[in-house]
Amino acid sequence: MRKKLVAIILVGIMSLTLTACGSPANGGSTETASRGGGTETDSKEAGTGWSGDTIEIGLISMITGDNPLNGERMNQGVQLAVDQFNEEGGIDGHQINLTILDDQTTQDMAVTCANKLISQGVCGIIGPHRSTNAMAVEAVIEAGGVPTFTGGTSPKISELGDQYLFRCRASDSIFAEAAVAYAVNKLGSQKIGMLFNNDDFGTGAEGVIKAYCEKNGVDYVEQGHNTGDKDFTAQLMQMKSDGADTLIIWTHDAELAINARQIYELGLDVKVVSSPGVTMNQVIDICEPEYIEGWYGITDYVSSSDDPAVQEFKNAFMEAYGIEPELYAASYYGATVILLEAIKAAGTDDPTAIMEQVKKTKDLTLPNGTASCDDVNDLIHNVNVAKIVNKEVVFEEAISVE
Amino acid sequence: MEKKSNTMNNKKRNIILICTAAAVVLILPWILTTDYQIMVMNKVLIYTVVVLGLNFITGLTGQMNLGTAGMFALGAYATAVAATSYGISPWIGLVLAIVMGLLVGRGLGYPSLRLKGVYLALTTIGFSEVVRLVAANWVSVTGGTTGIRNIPYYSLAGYVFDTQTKMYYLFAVFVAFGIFCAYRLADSKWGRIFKSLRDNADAVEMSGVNIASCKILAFTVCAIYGCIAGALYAHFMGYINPSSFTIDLSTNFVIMLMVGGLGSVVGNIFGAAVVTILPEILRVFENYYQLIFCTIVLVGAIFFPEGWMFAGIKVIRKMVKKLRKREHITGEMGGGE
Repeated sequence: MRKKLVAIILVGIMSLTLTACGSPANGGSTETASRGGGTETDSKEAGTGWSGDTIEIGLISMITGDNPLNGERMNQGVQLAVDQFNEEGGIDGHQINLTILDDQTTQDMAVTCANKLISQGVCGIIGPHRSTNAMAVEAVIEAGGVPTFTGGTSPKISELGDQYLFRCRASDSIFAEAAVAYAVNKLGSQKIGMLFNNDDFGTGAEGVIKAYCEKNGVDYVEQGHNTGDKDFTAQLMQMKSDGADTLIIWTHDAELAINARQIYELGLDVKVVSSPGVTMNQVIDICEPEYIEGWYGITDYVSSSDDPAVQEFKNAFMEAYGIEPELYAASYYGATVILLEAIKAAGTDDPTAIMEQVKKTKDLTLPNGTASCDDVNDLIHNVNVAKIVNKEVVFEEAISVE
Repeated sequence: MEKKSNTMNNKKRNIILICTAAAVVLILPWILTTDYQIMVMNKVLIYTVVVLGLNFITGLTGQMNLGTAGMFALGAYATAVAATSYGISPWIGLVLAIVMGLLVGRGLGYPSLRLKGVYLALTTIGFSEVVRLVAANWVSVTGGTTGIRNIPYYSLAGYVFDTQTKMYYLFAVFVAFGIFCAYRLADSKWGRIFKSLRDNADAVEMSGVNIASCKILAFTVCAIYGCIAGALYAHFMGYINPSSFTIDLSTNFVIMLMVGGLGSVVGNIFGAAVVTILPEILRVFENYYQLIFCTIVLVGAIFFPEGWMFAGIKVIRKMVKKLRKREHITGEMGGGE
């Protein structure tokens, strides 16, 4: 009996092995293949008219998880754009209805949220923010065929080849190249010391900056760290002994603030160029003025810019919420404006028609730059340099990279 | 004679319950109208497999394991790397995940012989974090923080499980098999030893039982279940990265176990379902949904430590008993007239 059982199991395993060849992967899935995203509520004929009284759009935000404050700004930015359009009578007489879902800043929940929104029949999705979350939902939104705008800045998003996934911020390759170019050309740096987070965000920038230094013959040293690390003195002392005259720090808010304090405490006499975090209140507020005095930050948005689009947005935001907007608010406000302008131009809430209109976006002025869609669905191609003076973010210059 | 008829009645009742459960599982995709709803059910099924395994360590043997996310991650990465880097069939990936579970279970089981309580919990957290950090930093194999994309679907003799509904039925088979094994194991001499280890390990040892091998077995079973679930998750999501396998996930699995009731196989399914579905239902409360969910879990932990389901059953039984008593009294009074 036992022998028979073993024989049956072996035959079963062998037949599975022989017959179960790898099925098509996500990218090459068949028409019916789907990790979700079936729009069963969408009964409208593709490309024509409106499916209901209101235009439904969705936002996958970070209400809970690692970055709730950023998520709140994201919600406010998107809501402001929706309110502005609704106050002007909506689009073709249709009011816009925004559904906000929390992805807890995890890929698992981001996929669940994307599925929920697509099942509800939204015609466009703003978010998710993180690059990894954007990569997680990519298969779902492609199967569901809904234009989606992420603020994830990993250069790998450009390689996905998903026609429905758009990026509403500049890629890290633009940010990082702008940072190192500014340090070398404007600050006269001779030796760059790169401090980076070992995650996707940090390593993406590290690759770009290292390549730039090698290409231009600039001396370069680097030290990595992990998210959640609390002590960077070993890395900073190494930088000091290596003789770096400029530090480029590419990490998240909490690690950035700790780095600032420890650089000050160790008395490192270096110029510092940082990832966008240093221009945001969540970092500035937890730092003493002397920690970050004279630091440069590469960011999407600077409130002190005299650009009329920036000032108009800043005033509207402050009037609505009583606080000054930062890059999350500006970037996702911009993404929402791009989506709503595309819906207006398409004259329908058919997601495919909207996607085609977003691809046609050209020279649309937004608070975080000028939006033009390129071949890989990147919409923003410029960044700003800001300097921290007495805890104030002072606009230095805008850098555009093609 | 009466005992025999009771056993027959119990058997009949069990068959009816199993048939009803099978019917519900079969028709559920017809009741659920959107991919989103079926996707949530698929997550319930995958998490049920994990909790069934966790039940052997935390539920039956009473040892705290906060490293389930690590086991889950190992299973996911084993099959994902095999499928995407070497083009190996997901089914062989599943076998690899099981082997991985076997190794990890034995490896983690040994420290459990010397460690107890909070120290064991810390060891398992450490294991989970090591797995996550290796996945994040071993870029050439795991893709680093970017993770692994394009993980293929399961397929069988040319039939591809490429929609949420198809995956649902496939996962339901895995869960049914997992429940069957869990029941058999819990009712075997091993299951009884596990429970006695939780109640009084010294007494078990005094009875001549080799508790070392039992503890290692409990960890091994848990790790195998965790790795199988991880493998299912990888092919279900199509994309994995290390940020998914944090301590939060391990804690979530323990909450599922607690909500369902420690030591109960049916409770495991209930716990996985409640902890996965309830936050989705509570989304109507917008920004407050997590606050409400956590409050409910906290209140449940304080007032129903034996699990919500059993608390509910207890209440219903009490009510039935009271009703019967009342009927009996009324009947007696009526008979007296």
